[in-house]
Amino acid sequence: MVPILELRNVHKSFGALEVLKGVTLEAMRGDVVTLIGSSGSGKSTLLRCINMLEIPTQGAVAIDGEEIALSPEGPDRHPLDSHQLRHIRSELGMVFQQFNLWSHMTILENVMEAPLKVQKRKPEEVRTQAQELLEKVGIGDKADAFPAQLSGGQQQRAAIARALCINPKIMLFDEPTSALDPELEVEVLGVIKMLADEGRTMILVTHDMKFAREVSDKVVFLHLGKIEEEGTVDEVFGATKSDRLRQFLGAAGHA
Amino acid sequence: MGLLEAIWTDIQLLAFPALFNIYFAASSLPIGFGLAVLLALGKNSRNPVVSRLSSAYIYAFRGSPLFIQFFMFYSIMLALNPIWWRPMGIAWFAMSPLFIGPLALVMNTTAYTAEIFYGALRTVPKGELEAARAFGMSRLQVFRTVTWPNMIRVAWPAYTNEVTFLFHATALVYFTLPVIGNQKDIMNKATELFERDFNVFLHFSVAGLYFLVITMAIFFVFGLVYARMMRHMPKERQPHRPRLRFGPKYIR
Ligand SMILES: Nc1ncnc2c1ncn2[C@@H]1O[C@H](COP(=O)(O)OP(=O)(O)OP(=O)(O)O)[C@@H](O)[C@H]1O
Ligand SMILES: [Mg+2]
Repeated sequence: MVPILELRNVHKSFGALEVLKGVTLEAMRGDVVTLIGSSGSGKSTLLRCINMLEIPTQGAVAIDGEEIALSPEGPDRHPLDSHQLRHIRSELGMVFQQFNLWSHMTILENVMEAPLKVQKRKPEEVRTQAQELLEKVGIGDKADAFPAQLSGGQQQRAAIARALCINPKIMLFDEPTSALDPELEVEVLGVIKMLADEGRTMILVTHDMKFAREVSDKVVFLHLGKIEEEGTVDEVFGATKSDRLRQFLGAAGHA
Repeated sequence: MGLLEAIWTDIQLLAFPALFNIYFAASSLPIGFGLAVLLALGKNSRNPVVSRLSSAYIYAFRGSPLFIQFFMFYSIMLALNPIWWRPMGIAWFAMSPLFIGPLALVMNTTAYTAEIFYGALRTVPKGELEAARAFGMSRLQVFRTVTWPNMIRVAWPAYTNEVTFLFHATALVYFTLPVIGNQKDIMNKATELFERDFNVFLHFSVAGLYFLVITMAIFFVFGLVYARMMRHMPKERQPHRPRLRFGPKYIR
């Protein structure tokens, strides 16, 4: 079976700072992969390399067997085929820490925008799906509200609906609850858990070890731009091999 | 003749000349608006040549007085008349204040408006842009979905001021360019009326009144548009609509 996501020897430098130092990672359809690691270890950068919000200075990314075409390695590396990139991006649903909803559009318009403009789907069909998704994440009554009128938790659930509405092959989450108060965190985690249980493919950056345990099929521990340890929840949390991870879990308040 | 009658007479006499001021503003503003969007994007461009050229243009036209710019355009057009306009048979058009006036105004308002738009462009939320890119939007789609609505909303109050400044600046056209026949704007006509009876109070006051009323109309209409642009903001975060403020700078 072809992995739905394949990262091969991904490097990323910002000027002289090498943030990713050769990451190789695979995910199969239906996998929930969580990326953990201390601040600055390169988790966000790695996630952003998947949809080319950051262009890897070295290495390759393939989605569902299709490698994203990039120019030869180096600091000025760029996508070779903007059409291919847009198509691949339109199948990756990204959820940001700061929600990044389009503030001048209603929630429903936010959810419908990419399906209509990028995927060129029919308005009636998109509207029906968007409404269903808003119901599903529990904000069906907020369709006509603007983002600023919603709580952080509601905004993030809207952002999740927006990402779901493109029928993504993979959902990418970058610390989706870090900007939220604890009591709002719960409702967003609930939605993500529900998606995990549905068998969606998800790559999730999180600081929440308890949640990582609950949802992950695979846990990846990044340290200084490299994968220090990876495995199932039991392997990584139960039979931790590296000292670094043990330290990290200790600091993260995990026994 | 009572005062009110005298004012009423002036209002009537200045109505037709007012059309010239309105023409100058209405013909140059839309063109300047469009060019300013391009110029602002140019200044914001990652291409250093495009960015420098755009900045230089903006700098030049904001850095020199509009008054001088009118003279400059007029003398250049005059110099080109024997070699280009007359041989091409378009002198009647190219040398007309009805063309040179808007030309100078367009060049000027483009620079001012571009600077306003450029400033607004830099406030467009990075995260919203990134989200648009992450969903696979093309550059044009990102512009339409995120950049433009945010930019124009932020720029609107300052742009409203620019529109009124430009309208006021139309009074300079016939100060610097030749008056042809009956083509007189509010300022010319008011001067003409003044020279007849030397009434220092009346004519320029009514002329000023014309500008004031039209300025208020501009603020009213632009304010309505702004309210519409701001409808997504929670009430308490909404700044006041652009309003007529006293003490705008008239000379630039
Ligand atoms: N655009 C950028 N330009 C320069 N340096 C960057 C850029 N983006 C990230 N970095 C640097 O790369 C390193 C890794 O950043 P990254 O955001 O991937 O870490 P992270 O693991 O997500 O951390 P956190 O848990 O704090 O979110 C950091 O040192 C950061 O300063
Ligand atoms: Mg991060």
